[in-house]
Amino acid sequence: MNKKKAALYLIAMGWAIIIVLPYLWALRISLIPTYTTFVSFFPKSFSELSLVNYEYLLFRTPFLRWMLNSAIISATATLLNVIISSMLGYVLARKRLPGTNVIFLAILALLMIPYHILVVALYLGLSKVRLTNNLLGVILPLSANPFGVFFMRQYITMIPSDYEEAALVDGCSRLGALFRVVLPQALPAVGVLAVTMFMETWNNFIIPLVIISRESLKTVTVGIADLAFQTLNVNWGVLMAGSLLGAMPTVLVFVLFNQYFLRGLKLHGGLK
Amino acid sequence: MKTIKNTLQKYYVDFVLALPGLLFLTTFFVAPIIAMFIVSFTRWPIIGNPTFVGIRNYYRLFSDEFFLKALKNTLYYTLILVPSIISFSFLLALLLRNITRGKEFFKAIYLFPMVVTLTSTAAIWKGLYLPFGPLNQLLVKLGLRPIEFLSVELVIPSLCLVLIWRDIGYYALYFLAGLEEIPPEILEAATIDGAGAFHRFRYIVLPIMKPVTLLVSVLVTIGSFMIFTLVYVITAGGPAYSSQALLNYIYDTGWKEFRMGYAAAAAMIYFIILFALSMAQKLVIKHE
Repeated sequence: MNKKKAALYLIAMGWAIIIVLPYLWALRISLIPTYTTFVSFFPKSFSELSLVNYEYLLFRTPFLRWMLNSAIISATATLLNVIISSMLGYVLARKRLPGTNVIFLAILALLMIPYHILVVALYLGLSKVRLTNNLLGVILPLSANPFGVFFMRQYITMIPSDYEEAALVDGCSRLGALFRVVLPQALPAVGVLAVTMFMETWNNFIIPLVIISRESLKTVTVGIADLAFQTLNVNWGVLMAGSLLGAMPTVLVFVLFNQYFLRGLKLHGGLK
Repeated sequence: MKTIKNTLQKYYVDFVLALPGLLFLTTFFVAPIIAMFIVSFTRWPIIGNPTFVGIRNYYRLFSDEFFLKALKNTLYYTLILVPSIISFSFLLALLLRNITRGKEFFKAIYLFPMVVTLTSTAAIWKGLYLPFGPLNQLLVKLGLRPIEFLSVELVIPSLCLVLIWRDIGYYALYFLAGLEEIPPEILEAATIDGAGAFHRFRYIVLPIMKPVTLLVSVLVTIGSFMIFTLVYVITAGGPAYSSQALLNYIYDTGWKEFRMGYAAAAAMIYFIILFALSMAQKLVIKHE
């Protein structure tokens, strides 16, 4: 029995190593000052390591600018989505407004449509109103995510409306009841939604790719793809440094809000 | 007059709360779908005005060898990804089920690639797959012959390998949740009744896992149809269009050849296929 357990742990460790090795390799490459990947995995001495690639990335490419753009886009789109989703989700959950059932069915239908296919029309529409090459042109479509509405509606439906009605009887306004009674109870859902949305907007690639072509407005995902497609020779050290730094924010969010993220994933389904 | 005023007062708050969400969803989700449908009947070379061409775009797409190639490639991705992700993540879930200490640690590590931006992961694997890159160095060290991972024949399996490596930790969580729902009493009762490990697995575990398996197959199928970033970063669809997925084809048509009407028509077909697929799978799940 113990032998079996040991074998299981060995396999589990093995797969964990296979998961981690590519990232360690990227770290290794990012720390050597050459243009090739012709290195042994373990550095012979620590003097062999250097930070020149990071220096190049931060000061001679628009990388910091890309990070800033990604941060602005993710933060704003997440905030917008959480706000509009909570409000619409609340209305759909309480069903006071006529037609809420139809709207909810429409949102269920929207959930089945991947936003990827909208890029052609989004691009044409946004260029008509001059929002291409504008961060707003990325923020607005990304914040219009039907998942948030669906998610908040489901959660608020589970919150009994008794407290809310009691607050109304005590003279609280409808808005006051929403913000002081319902939303505090829905806080875990708001957390899950915020974490999920942040991950999705930070990792999004196709929308910033088609909407933005100006170097100073690109997001970090598009920037990394650019680094991977330099016309002359790909500078692997810089590319790996960029890949690792560009992934830091979502990794950090994952480490800090692990539980929220897991709950969000379970409800959300595939994100590519 | 008074009733209108009363209704207004009654619904005012709800209406105001619902409005921003409805506006956002119609402007950036519903309207683009309608617009795409209309644009797909036009010839629209970005600069200049669209001209109506009827169903010519659709007609031409079905004899467009690059479109058909992209369609075929996408099916190829799906056919590799669905069975392999299902079986490997199921195995991983079985592994996690039998681990007690450090379970959360392993779960977090296995999920990690899902958290890393796909462009970063793609850039890293682009390096791993280099002709003289670390994977081939390893193969040579093991006394094997180096492999040309991104050749015409191997490029799709190689790209699928990245996605399998990245996604199975995530889908394993679905299977794990399913496995944890199996009441241990049933398995114990079966053991007492003399059922061997294989029979317990075949007649108790597998039937219970069927709904989860279907769900994962839906998610992986839709995911396979959305392949874009990985191909864009690692191969840009090459060599010789051999890894071009549908979305990459749509992107190239729209943003490299500037044929927006044609790209919209391709997107419509893609939309219809995906919609039909998810409907079919929904029906199967409901049937279960």
